[in-house]
Amino acid sequence: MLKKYFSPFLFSFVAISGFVQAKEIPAPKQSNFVSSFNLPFIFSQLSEGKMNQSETGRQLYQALLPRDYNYDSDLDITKSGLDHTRNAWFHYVATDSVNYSLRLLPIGNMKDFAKVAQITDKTKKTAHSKGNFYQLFNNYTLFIDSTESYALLIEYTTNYNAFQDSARAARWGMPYYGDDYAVEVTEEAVPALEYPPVEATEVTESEWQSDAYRATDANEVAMVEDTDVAVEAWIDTGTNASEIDQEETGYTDDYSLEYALEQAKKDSIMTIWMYQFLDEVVTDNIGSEQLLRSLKDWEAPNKNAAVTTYMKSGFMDLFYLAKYFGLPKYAMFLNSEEHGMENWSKFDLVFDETTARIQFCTRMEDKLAATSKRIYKRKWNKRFNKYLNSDKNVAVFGLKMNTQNYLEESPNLMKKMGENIPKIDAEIALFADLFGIIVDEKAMGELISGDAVVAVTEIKEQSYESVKYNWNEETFESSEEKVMKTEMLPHILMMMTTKDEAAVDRLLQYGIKRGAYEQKEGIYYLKNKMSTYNPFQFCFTVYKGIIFVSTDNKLLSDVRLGKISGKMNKQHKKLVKKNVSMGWLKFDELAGVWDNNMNKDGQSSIRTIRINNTLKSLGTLYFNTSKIKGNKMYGAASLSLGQKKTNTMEYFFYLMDDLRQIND
Amino acid sequence: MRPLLVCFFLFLIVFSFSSCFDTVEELSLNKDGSGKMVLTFNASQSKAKVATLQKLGKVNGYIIPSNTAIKNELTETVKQLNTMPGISKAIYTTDFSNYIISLSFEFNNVGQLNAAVKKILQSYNIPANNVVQYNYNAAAKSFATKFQLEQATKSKYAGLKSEDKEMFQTAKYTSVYRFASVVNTMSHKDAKLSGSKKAVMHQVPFTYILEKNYSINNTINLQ
Repeated sequence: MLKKYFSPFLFSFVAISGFVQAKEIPAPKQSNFVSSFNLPFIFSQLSEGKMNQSETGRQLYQALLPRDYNYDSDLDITKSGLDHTRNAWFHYVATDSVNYSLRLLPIGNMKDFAKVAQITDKTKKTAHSKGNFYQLFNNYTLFIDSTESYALLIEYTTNYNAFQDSARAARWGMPYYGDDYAVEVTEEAVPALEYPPVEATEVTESEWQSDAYRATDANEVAMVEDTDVAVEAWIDTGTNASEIDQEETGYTDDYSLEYALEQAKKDSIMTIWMYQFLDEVVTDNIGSEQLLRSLKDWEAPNKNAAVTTYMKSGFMDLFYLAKYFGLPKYAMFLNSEEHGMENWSKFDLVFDETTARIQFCTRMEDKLAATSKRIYKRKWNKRFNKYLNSDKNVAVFGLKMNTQNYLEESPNLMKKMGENIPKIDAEIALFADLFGIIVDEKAMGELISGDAVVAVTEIKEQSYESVKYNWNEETFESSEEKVMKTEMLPHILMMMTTKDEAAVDRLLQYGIKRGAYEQKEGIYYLKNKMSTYNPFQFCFTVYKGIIFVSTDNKLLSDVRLGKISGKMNKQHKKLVKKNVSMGWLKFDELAGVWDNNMNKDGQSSIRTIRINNTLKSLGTLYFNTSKIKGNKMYGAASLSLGQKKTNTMEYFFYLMDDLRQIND
Repeated sequence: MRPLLVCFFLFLIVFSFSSCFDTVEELSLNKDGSGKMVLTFNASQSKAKVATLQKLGKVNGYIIPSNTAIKNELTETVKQLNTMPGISKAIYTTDFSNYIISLSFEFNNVGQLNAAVKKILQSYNIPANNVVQYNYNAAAKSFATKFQLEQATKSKYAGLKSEDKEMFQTAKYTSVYRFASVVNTMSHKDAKLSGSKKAVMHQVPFTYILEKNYSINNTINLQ
């Protein structure tokens, strides 16, 4: 039980006695996401005044602060009260009962900050040995330390199903409604109520007990474990079940009133947990950076990063994003001990001299790293370069995967994920085994090797028929007239390597036999059985070990005739050579396309002009994911803004402001 | 693969394609008040966009019906119309290579026509008050149309995003009323009288109706 509470977390940082940082703002011991807002860097690039003038900047900044949705006037950043010479932090802590969003805010001017937080003499205040708790508007709870150097702003969401754990329900004096409503208990709301595993901490049991004892001090927020004290604390927080009467709830029958009382009690218990959570944060007094350093092979934020985010469980943590958006069960896939401190990801939002970029680093534990290395062990097919053109191609996305290795590793990956879904783990394991037996990995690997590229080769004018009505002036009877209409449409080219052209050919011949395709001069066309207009008629061919799929039959014809000579510049060649996935998107090329289409139909508008200007300003977006080095994988999405009038961050904010105006 | 395709098609819709459609309402009225109605929706000028939207299935929260779904809806509408008293020969045609859909039916009197049009709108969840009301007085030889766009519909339109509103920018509404007798007078100054003087046509951009409170009401007196 104890192990369960402490082991699954990436950030299960332990309190190290005597290692208290005075400068850092206290942070939770375990978080699913941690974001650092590098305010010194941000305000070195963009003055407070300019940030104030930028709608994007102001809104992003405002996200750090308690938000009053009824507040009419905009926030004045120069009077926010925050200290812009220190970092602010965001921590997200998910448990099976309460999810906490905690903002760690450095205070520079308490008077201004109190005004922003709307703290008045009437604000409900609770004393704590380290400062004060304030109950703000919109259910925000705020802690301000006694030296007024920092604030902790907390929002939380609750899950009532947390009481469908019989032990917990009993402990807190709540009814238990049986296994049908049971939840998978993975983490307690207040895990610190349990003793930490001895091997994971330097804190002695007696020290721990003294901490717990300290928290139950009469003048502080109650830190309680047994039912009697829990109820007492619940009453102390100001919500008394006896105060909830028929008139207040509006319920007229006993059952509904009882239900309302029960919900109120749950709310109160969760409020207690929230206060306990905050109490632990401030009393343990461990800073975010100090905690993050416990990550294996930790990497510090980039010095030019405005925001840096750390997430648990590495690149597969998309599941955790899912949890953040309300899909808790699937988020538990990798919530195992093994995926603790060893698997993490870091994202930096960097602004340097010429680029704005998001760069990431994903650290994987040994097994996962070895698996990933196998999956991405593939060289770029150099023949692809022959058909790509650095100047003309508007967008390119390339991937180097090893299909055979991927299929061989898939059963193990499936089983691994299944281990964390107890209810269907056996089924998943069985399916994984069957998958391994049925699928011929080698044959599949030869059919589709795994390296592929998709490109928007060009955007050019294409014409199609449309129908307009002619009206007889004598009778107003209509007659249809077919008119040609032109539109700028993209051409797509997809290439995949195959080592088994014969098998691909057999598949295509089968398609012809079944009437799905027709073939002309080695190019296969999909038949349009529905007589429906399709602006993207895909055709395909196989030539010299590459499967080509395109919307441009002339291109495929030229491929077969050997008429195409690609033009990849050095930068792009390097990009495809060094990375497992990579690509680019030329926003500036799209500007003309947009302009052409809109003007032709007389639809040119302020919106069109704005979109055009923004596209022209954005330049080219490059993205890449590197090969695995050691246990890490690096990547970036980089926008080369390439202008010198102002720094990239300021320029980026202007662009974002323009984008916001597009739909006005 | 699907997310990639979705991104690709969204990219196309955002950065490419113009949008435009025509709605044509053709009413042929006999002296006794019976007649025929033909409603046509022509999106052939935006067919690249429509085809792409259909591939996505859902854009900006709006469900884009497939051709099969459109046909099913039309079949159901025609079935319902044919069971209505005084309505007959309801049929539909579709041309998905040009995205032209047409629905026609015959009616015994204008009251039944009003009921039928209301029914069509209801079956597509369009507020029934957003419908042209026809009035024919055989004795007075007078035909009138009355239409008032609901405030709720106006607000809904006003609340649309710019990119969603854009499809209405060049969209057109055309009404053609054909009579057995010669038209003596008509009240709407923008409506056109045919050379034979037996038909009245009124073409108006959709945005006039949606944004400018433009009235399409017309009273036509026949000889």
